[in-house]
Amino acid sequence: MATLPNVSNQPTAQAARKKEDVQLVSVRRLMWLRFKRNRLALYSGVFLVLMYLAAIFAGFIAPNDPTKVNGQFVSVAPQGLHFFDTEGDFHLIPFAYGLESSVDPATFRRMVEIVPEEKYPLQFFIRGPQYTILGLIKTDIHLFGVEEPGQLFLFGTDSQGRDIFSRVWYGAQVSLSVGLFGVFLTLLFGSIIGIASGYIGGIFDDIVQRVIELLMSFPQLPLWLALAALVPDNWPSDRIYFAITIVLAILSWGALARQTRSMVYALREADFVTAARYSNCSSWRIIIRHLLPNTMSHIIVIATTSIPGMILGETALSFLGLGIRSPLISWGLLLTDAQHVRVLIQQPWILTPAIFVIATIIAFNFLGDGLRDAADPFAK
Amino acid sequence: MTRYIVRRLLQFIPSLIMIAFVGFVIMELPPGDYVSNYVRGQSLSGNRDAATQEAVMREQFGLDKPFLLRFADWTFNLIRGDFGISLSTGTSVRDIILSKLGATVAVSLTVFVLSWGLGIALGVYSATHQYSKADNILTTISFLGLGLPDFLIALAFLVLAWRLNGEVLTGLQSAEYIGKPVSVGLILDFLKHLWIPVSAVVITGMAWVMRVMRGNLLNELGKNYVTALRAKGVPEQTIIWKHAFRNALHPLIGALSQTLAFLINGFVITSIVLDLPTIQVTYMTATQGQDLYLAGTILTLIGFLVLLGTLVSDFLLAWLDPRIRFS
Amino acid sequence: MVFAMPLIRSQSSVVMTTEQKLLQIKDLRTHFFTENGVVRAVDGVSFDIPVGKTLGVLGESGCGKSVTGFAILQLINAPGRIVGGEILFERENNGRKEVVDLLKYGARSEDIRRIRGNEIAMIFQEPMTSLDPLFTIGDQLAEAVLVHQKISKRSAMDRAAELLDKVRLPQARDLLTKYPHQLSGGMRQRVMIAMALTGHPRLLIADEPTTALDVTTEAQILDLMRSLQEEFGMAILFITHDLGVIAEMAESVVVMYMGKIVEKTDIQTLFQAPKHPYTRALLESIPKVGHKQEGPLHTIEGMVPSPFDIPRGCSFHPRCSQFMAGVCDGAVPAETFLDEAHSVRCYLYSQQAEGAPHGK
Repeated sequence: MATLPNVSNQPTAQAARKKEDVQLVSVRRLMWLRFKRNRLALYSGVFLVLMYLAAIFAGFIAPNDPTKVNGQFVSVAPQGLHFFDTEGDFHLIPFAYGLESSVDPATFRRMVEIVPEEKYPLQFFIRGPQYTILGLIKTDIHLFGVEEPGQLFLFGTDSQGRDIFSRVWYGAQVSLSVGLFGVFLTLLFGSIIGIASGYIGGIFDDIVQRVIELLMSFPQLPLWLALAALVPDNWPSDRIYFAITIVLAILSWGALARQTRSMVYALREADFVTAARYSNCSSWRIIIRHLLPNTMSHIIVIATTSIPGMILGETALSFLGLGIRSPLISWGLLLTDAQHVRVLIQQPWILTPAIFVIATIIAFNFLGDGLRDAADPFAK
Repeated sequence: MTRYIVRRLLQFIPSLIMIAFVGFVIMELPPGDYVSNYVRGQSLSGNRDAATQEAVMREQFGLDKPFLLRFADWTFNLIRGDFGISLSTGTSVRDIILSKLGATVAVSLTVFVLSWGLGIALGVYSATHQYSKADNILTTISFLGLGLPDFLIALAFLVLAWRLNGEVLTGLQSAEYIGKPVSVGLILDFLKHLWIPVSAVVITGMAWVMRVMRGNLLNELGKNYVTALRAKGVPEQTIIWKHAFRNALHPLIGALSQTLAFLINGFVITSIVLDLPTIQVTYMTATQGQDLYLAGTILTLIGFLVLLGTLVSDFLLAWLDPRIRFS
Repeated sequence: MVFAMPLIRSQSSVVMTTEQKLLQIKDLRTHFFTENGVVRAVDGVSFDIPVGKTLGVLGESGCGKSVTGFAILQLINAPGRIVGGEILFERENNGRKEVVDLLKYGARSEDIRRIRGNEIAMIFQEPMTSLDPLFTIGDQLAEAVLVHQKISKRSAMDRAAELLDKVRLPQARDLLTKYPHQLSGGMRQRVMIAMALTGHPRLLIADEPTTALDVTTEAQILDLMRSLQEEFGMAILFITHDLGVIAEMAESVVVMYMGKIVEKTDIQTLFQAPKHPYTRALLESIPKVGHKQEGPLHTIEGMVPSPFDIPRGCSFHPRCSQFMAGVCDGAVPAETFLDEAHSVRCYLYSQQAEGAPHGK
């Protein structure tokens, strides 16, 4: 049998090794790289970050006070900014027309008309109604607006003459945060119970499973409605806010717990868990250091994909009048007027907040999808 | 086999009682009851005498008895087929439910058949023509469908319909056809109203089915047994429909468990918004008005359908998948 | 993997004459067009499979051996595509022999479909996942029969039972009603072999059929395959990375590395007098029973390069102990015939580069 000369220190082999640039990539970085490739998910992520920022700076973006009632400007159609005036002249800086409100003597109906002679140019960083950012910073500078007595109703006004555009941005604060808080509660409760149930097994697991089964066989919306109807009318609106988040979370933790439990159940038999057990790791340590990191990415994905459901739930409840109450504002609350079909037909601009709801939900769906693909960087 | 079915059905009972119990409890939680609501409503509209009638009314409705007794009574009556009466109208609960059942099932069944039929067909097409223009369009549609809440779409369609022909198409029938005998005009009118809720709900429902079907089928088509089938010389269409499709259906069958309950519990908000004469709306008003027996019965009915649906879906799954059958 | 000096299949080299060639692969190129670049998985592969004999394809993971096997039956899926070459197959039509180029048939064509599972059959690496879990063994075997023959379902079932017998599975009739998940890996692989036999194939492509099985089962399956080959007179293209298995099964061998064939010879020469440095390194790395091992086991230096970054010239040169600078990293070496049945692709044996004019 022919033998080869000792090959260990040949220059070519070493050179070959040097040329190879082997990088150790952490799993987290792998996930990020994979996520980045999904353009749709990336853009959705950016969009959502912008939305949340806008919500935080709602006061800055909104030109008007969202709770200010303008009796004379009730149910006004969207008054946009114009570049061309009625005579066809072009103005570099867009302007809003002045509005005049009068009562038709024959029908006693209020009418609002534009006054072509009054033009209020758009101004940036204008001073307006005071507001606070995150309850900490008080200021009165707004991104844009027009000078008094000009009115800027970019999305029109509602039945009480309140500027819908401003209300949408303030509404974002509630609508977007309810989802986050609700999901946070769900995550906390659901994952802990799920992991414990899956790991401990036995009677504890059985009981938990029965409870979850019962919970899930309960028709969801009726339960939501019933629970929401439970919240007393006379509670202050922010307590109602928290009650609603709890109601939303009560129904979703079951699903998360079930999924987590089955993941843990599968992992339980995994070799590395057995190895940990034999190394005398305490159950608690196994749960925290081994099971949790392995399931974490999946838990996060499940949580992210439940956010749209929460936002929709809050919107639905508030839409029916069972959720957020005045003076707090949410997108669902803004859409309440749309319930009355006759009203909706006369004033279709009331439906504008729906676009925001839809855009946010779709963005979360794309994001959740991207996260789900990225969470398993080793999947094909 | 029959023993197994009977056993499963018997297991329903404790769950149902639990559901009904929880339902009743939830309804009793807000302060007051139907009578106090009624009295309050009456005095708000100027009728002060109602307050004096309160005690009498309570006794009439049996609301003065302790909670557990009332619940036990109702449960026993349930077994005998007597579901109690609706406190607000005095009609028997059974009559109310039966009267709404027709419309409810009509709409729900149409929605179900269309959602799943379209969803499956388009899902298979999408998967077998991956990355084609049609596939991209369908994927976009499904994302939209998943994101859009059905009641908002329904409202949008309503406004659209009004813009097109000036009619406000709420409910399922125009005023002139209600209670009239069946005629071509009636059916056309019915369809004219029906398309709004149905298309709104089908868009969202179909989107989900389509995405799941597409994902599952793509998954299956990448598996080893498919390559082995091709190597055997089996025609592509047979591979797709006889083999991959059946395997891909698996996870969808699990979702069918919800479908039975969906028949009377789906698209609640759309029903409310469009003022459809369905059980969903009845349930909403009953819950809010604390119309105890009506709401409780419907809730139990829904729970029953959920459990039944799970049973049916479990059976379908076992019928479809021999691995489950033999475990 | 330790083994005694292999019991080599045949003691004489195989002389390939034109009448005996069942399949001729000429310059096959199969490329994968991925979003990270083009992977030239099979890059100019040529070899012949003689009638009724076993040809082994030996190589590491990723060398393109499986892709070669798949290409014959046009089972390459996107993003892969056969971009060049010919596969000449000698078909038998009622006693008449006809040579056709399989690559002229479309991947979805009736023509190729008629050959699959019929004149050319294939078995795969993972018996556990090669059967549809929802159908019985009987159904799936009958399906294989009915795809190519118009007979009754009952007759197809009978044939299925016959085939199960042929592959030495006990209680064939019972087995027909069982589902795949009720069978062990070894049994499933036998079922796959039975399915492959339904059309009396003239060529059986075996893609690592025993890699997923334990050694005892492996030995049984290999034994079965040998006896079936004798009985049916079919040729086998045996794809594997396992030297021991190749020694048992193949009469001639083709060694692949990074999409190209580096050495072609009969089995005896392969083990006794390999010429290409890669082949020699492979053989050198196996520990041998009966020889005292001095020092650590030999390995081949370096790693298999990324398929997106194939080295210039001879793709083995970065790992070759006899690398010649300026020569090996220039152009791809041409196939050199050392004698009628033995060829190498290496500058140690010839100065000729691929595509260069003859005589240098």
